[in-house]
Amino acid sequence: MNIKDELSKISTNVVIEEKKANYKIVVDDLSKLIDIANSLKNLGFDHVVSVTGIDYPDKIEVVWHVSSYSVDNLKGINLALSVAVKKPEPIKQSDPQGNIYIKRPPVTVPSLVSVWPSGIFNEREAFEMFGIIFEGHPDLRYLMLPEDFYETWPMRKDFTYQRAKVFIE
Amino acid sequence: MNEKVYNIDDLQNINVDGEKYIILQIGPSHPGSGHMRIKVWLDGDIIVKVDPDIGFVHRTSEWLSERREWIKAVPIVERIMLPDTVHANLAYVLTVEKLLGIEPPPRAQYLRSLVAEINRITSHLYGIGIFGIFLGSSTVYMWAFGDREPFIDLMEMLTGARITTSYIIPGGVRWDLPNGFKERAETVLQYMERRLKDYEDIWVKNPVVQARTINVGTLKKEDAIALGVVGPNLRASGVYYDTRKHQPYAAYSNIDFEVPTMKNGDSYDRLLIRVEEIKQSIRMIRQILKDIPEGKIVADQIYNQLNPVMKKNYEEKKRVMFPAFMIHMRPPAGEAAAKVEAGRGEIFFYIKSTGDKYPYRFRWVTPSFRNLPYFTHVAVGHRLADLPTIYGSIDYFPPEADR
Amino acid sequence: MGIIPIPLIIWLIEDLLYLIIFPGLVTILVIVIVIIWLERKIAAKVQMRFGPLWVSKKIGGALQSLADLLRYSFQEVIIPEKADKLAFILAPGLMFAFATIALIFIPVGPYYSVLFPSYYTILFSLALIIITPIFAITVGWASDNKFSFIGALREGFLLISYEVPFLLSVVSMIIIFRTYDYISAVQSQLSFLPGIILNPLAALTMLIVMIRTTGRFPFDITEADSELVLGLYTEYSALFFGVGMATPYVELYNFSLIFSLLFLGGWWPFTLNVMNPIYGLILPGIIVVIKAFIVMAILVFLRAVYPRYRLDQAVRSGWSYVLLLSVLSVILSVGEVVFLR
Repeated sequence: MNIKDELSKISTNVVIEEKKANYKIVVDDLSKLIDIANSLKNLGFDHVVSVTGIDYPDKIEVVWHVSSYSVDNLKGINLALSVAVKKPEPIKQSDPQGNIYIKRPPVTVPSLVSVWPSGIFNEREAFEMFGIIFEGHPDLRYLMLPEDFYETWPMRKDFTYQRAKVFIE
Repeated sequence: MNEKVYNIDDLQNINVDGEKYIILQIGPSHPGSGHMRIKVWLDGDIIVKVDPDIGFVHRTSEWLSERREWIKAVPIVERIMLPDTVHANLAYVLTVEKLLGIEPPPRAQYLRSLVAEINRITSHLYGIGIFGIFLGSSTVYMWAFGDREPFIDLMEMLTGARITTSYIIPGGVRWDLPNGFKERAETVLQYMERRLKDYEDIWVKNPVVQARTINVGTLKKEDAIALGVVGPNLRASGVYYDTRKHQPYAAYSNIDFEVPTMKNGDSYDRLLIRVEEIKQSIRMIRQILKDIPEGKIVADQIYNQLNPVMKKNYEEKKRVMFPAFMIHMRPPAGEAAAKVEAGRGEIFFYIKSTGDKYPYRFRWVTPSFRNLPYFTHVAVGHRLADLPTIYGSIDYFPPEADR
Repeated sequence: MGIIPIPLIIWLIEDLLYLIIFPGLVTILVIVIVIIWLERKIAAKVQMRFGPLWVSKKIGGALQSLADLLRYSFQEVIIPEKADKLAFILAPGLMFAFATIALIFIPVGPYYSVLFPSYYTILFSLALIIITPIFAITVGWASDNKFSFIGALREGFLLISYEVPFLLSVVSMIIIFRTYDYISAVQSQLSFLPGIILNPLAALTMLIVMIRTTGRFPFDITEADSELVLGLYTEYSALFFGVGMATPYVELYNFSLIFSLLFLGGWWPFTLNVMNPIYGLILPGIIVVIKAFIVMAILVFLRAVYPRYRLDQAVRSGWSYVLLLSVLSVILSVGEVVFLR
């Protein structure tokens, strides 16, 4: 089975750089994502290794890395399934004290938990770090961050942190 | 934006009747939780639902690494995986090497495998020790932690540091084999082989241990694949998968070793497989020390960057000092992914470079993070007393999962 | 005002001597301190450690337990707001008190007649020993902590599943010795054979029950630290915690004394039957205490070997194997009595 042929049957936009162990399928259309994921799963990619976002100035790229435990000649491949979503414009808001802050709305992509259940915690992490709402995720809650990071999306490049206020009793 | 889609900590969101069940918050300050909180719904003594609440030791390693020079990520990733530093170091360096296009010389490859296997033994002993104290056996805990010491001393002899070695750098390793290392390693390995018999007597074949672990926390092969668990836990469920075999790195393609697998996938199998892997690692260390080729310990690209003083140092002390290249390293634009079989499982690195002096996107997934489904899927239906069994048997390490 | 009768003084002082020094409170304290030290030291020896060594280095850290006791005494007492305060304060003390009072009815010599000379010492001591776990349950309930509560439930489950075998094993010895008194039980052993040979099944049952009731491994289920923090004593601090922690050792001492009286021949090989304090109490007492101490040392050594069982496994074995064993021991006793005598 030639992995390149098989992947190009699934999608037209396949990037393969053998030397860097970089196998990538770039999905142009969000609506095709679940179909492509299903056909990858039928091919033998049975688990998600990592789900993450990459923050660009205008878009957010969501990358699922999948691999295989069951099909022998796929065990050596880390396939990236990538989809890019345009970021909405940031909204300026003011809190009751009059401070103006910038609210960066989240983006929405379909969740692939229904295809690969192993992505459940990874998708939760990508959600809290990048503000990617995975539609159809059964349990989309914050995973690691505490409450004061609510809607700050700290892994985005424009995230600025404030020094913690010191409380002295 | 739909507020109902997510909620920070929507405890009412869970479809379990709160009146009927005891909700037990195990952790974050609890002897049996580690640095995490395990929220357990109990029906009498039976676990109905488990919600692992991680993040108490989240150290923002990705954020920090994206705002630092490339080489500075090595100590950051090491400090996340403290019992398993070499593998974190190795996985990161492999990814960077893929971006740089550097191939280390064979001797460096063998040294990497050597230190990685020594580290794997310490990591497994750590896991066995923690499992011991979770089941109430302080003896195994003390033994395992005590027997880690000879191997840590070996690492110190080889790398100059006990735990956070930062031994592996892009293009090679930092120190050559010291004099007398082979003899010392042989005594340590013989000691460990003797000790493994003691472990079998007091721990593996202990009737109480067998009563507590057999058929507890069973994860079937299909479920293990679907849930994407990693490492010894995956192999205990009967899946033949080892990154060292299927995506060979370092010197593993030249080393003869077996990947032990078990059938049942219960806690006892997960204990046995760690013992088996220690035996395999001992075998591998012997092979490496026998077969290790002569030669340079850094790639020529790095060696040529060394200034005359450093070169003299290299020839005399067999030590690689950092050339200025390291801190000004700018890997060409592109992305690379690498996997390493660490003691607890598979580390995955995915790094995107834009040719800048910082990584643009630094993503890594640690084995413990991927073993989280054991809490949510496997512990359900067992008794409360089985939760520490399952936790200990999967060798979960919260700082590693939180990154 | 006349001359105070000298014999009365001696009589009074003797009684106080028994109560306070031997085999009274001071002995309990010393035994508890030494056994805790020994437990840690044995475990350390197995585990390639030194064990307690900071306090009194020259004698192997033997005073470490005493230092711990002092530390508990001077710690701040913290009582949770929602705790049932009366029960929270009283329960550990009562638990300790009943465990200690049971000692009055356990003679260590033929001349032992402190306050309650009685022909029913076995029954009295059993009654008092059985009361103690009930206060353990109170301790767990009073703390208003889920972990304590689960610990109390576990204690209750184990209590009812191991109490029956315990009583049956003692009953089988009562059947053999045809007495409710320890002293005559020992004397009938001295004239015939020790109880462990007469009825090994009862001795085995008794040992298992001792491990269970005093929370030694592998039955350290109510205080399983990786599951329940500290089980019953999660919310306890200071002296209350110290008392709660020492109670299982006092119980262990009680059980070991009973075991050495009923099964190990009491003060055998000291058979001189002289009714004076030295030959009737001190010398046989020392022999009995040494025997009990050896039993205790064997039981605390189990910590270094076994992890703990699960609750359901312990309860199941309590209602099956151990109960069966104790029933068989009663049958054996009846058989011996019918056929041998």
